[in-house]
Amino acid sequence: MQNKNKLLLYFFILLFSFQFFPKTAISQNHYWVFFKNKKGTGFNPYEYFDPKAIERRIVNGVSLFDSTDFPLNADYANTVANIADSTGYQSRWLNAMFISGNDLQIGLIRSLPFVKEIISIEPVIAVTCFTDEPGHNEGTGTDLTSEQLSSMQGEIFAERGLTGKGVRIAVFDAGFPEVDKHPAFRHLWENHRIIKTYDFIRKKENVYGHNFHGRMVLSCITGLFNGRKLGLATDAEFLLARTEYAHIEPYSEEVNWLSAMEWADKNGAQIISSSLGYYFNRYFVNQMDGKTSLVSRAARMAAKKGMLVITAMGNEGNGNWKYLITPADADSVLSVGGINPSTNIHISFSSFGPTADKRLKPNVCAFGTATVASSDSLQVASGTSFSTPLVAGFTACVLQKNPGFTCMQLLHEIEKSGNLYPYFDYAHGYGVPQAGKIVNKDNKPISPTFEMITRGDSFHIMIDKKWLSKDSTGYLYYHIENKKGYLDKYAVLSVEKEDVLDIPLNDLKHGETLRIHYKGFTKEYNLTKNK
Amino acid sequence: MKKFITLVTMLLCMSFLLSAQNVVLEQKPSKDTIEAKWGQNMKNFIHFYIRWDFMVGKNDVGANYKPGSSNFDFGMRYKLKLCKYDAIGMDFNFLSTSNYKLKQDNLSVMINQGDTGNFKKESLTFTSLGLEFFNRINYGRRGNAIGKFIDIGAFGNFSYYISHYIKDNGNSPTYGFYEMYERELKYTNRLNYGVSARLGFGRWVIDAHYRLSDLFKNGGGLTDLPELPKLQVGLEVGLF
Repeated sequence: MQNKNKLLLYFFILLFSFQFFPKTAISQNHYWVFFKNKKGTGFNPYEYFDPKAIERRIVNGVSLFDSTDFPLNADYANTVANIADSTGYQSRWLNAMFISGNDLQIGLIRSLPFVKEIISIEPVIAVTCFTDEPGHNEGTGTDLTSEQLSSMQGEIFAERGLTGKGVRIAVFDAGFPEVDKHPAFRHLWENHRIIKTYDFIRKKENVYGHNFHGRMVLSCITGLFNGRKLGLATDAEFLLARTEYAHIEPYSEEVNWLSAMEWADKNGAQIISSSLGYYFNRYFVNQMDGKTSLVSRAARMAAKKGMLVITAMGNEGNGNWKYLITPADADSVLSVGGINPSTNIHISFSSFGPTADKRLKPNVCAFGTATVASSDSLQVASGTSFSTPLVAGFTACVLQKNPGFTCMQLLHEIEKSGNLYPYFDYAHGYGVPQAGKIVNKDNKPISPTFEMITRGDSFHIMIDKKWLSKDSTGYLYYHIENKKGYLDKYAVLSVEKEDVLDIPLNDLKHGETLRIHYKGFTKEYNLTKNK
Repeated sequence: MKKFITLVTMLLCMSFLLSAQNVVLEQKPSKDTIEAKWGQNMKNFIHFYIRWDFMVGKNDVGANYKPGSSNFDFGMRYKLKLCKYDAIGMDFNFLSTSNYKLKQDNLSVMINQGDTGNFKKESLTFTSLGLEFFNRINYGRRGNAIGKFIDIGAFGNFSYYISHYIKDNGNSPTYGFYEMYERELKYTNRLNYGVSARLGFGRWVIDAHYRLSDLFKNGGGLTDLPELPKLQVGLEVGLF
């Protein structure tokens, strides 16, 4: 063998190894170790929790002495720590600790009588629901700025002084550069409304650096620039956590996310806005069932503690994956899809529902393109990353109006406020939340906007003349729900004439329900009765 | 008659326009949710790849080679998943170029069937089409991703273009420098075969190919040429 060629080969292999091995081979040794119990442990909730967390627990009927809040059994943790190479975060909620070790050590730990389960944590490289484009500066983006809020009737909240005051929102992201000096956040730092910050990657308090995504997201909840609102919750309080790297997802992100969740709980968060998710590298579409992924389990746990997790559906709508990403699949989280501001219907990249076990997702939707804070001004950016905080801001206003709402009441209230409600589909959920439905609960019957006529072998949907659309919002939505309760088909039609839809009778099966929505009016037909 | 046809056509067009439904979004989840068959960790997967290997094997006396002797491949791979841990597959190499840069030392016997090291540069290039079959063992947890794997396979190459290049030392009083490309070589085999192994981490793969066949023909009036290295090791990148 020629020595120089050998050296050249070794050089390339070494280069290759440095580049990729740390994310693959080495990280095979990272694990969650779950314990069977918390025998002999206890804690004082009044010392551990922020008063706001205690208040939230009382409202939600959660015991202050819930064993899932107890620390881990110290003897168990020490025994495992003595065997493992190193240990990391200890999750009270999961009764688990993060460790590193080799196969032999894992074998020893597995044989311990108090160890319930060991799950390896795989490293992956994957893009979350970031918009990777830094975006171009479009000045103040006046029309879009006002429309992203007026689409939710934000002015109605403003008129009634609903600005998220007193509501504590935790935001998890990849960094919050310039948030401590950008004018769009002046009202936060001048009024000390950023309660706590923590960088779970660097284990430091300073989060005002790294990826710009968090700054953009936060501005969609609370931004206020030159007197113009970018988000609805301008008076809310914030907990800012950096849990994410920007473009890669090493194993630690899932751990950071869980750690941040428990940190937010302890510090009294009522709403968690998280524009991130995991998908193809770790999971299959058929695992998007709300039970499989660790983050989804953590999100459900957060709901049990009374925190409403608001999360993005993902930007995979026109990709191979197509469907929602986790934790948007968890049943007790509010999953948010995106709509196109120009058409007011589903924006192509927004991931579709339902979950793998056929539950409705997204729950609601909002603008998928929004005006956000740039490094020193404003810019336009796209992604369900921005639909999510827009809804988080809306939710804070609802909670301010109804401070006694439990987490699930809040979730259902947001769903009911959707502009399509009670109609739904897997692209829009219940539609865009409407402040008017929150504030004006007059329950007046909505006058019919269309009628259905059976003519020959078809159903004909006829639009009432006075409701014929003169603008772009004139869409007719319909779906066919099967006997099992999930949708076999759904569609949106642009209404340009009275006779808008024909559905051949033969297309419909026994027991299916046809549901139609047009301009606030929804009607359903059980096909057994109508045939 | 013409008027009648025009009228019928107009009526047909109008009726079409009147009944047209302007669908801006339509989804059929019951059909969509049929299990996907194509994907990195689905039943079937196809992707392109590029590979750069270095010759590192032992050569016969008289066929010493220089650093930089390498093989470049561009091809397409099909993988059929058999179970969570096992898959089989096939590679089709559109372009496989092996370049052996020969040392001109006192032992070199490559050129002109026996002349020894008189040249400044000498190389042999084999441009081939290739086919490879492999078995893949996957390990580690993964979603719809290639993940970590070990491949063991067998390959065959057909060299459709073989050339022998020399550049002399410039010592000739008649020609000065000269370069020469020789094609249609009588002393090379067009068909080659061997075994392969790969260690992969997603798209990044460490690759080894070992040739079992000889590059040069022996007997039949030809001088027995010393064999060039049979082992090549390098890196491959999956394009997906």
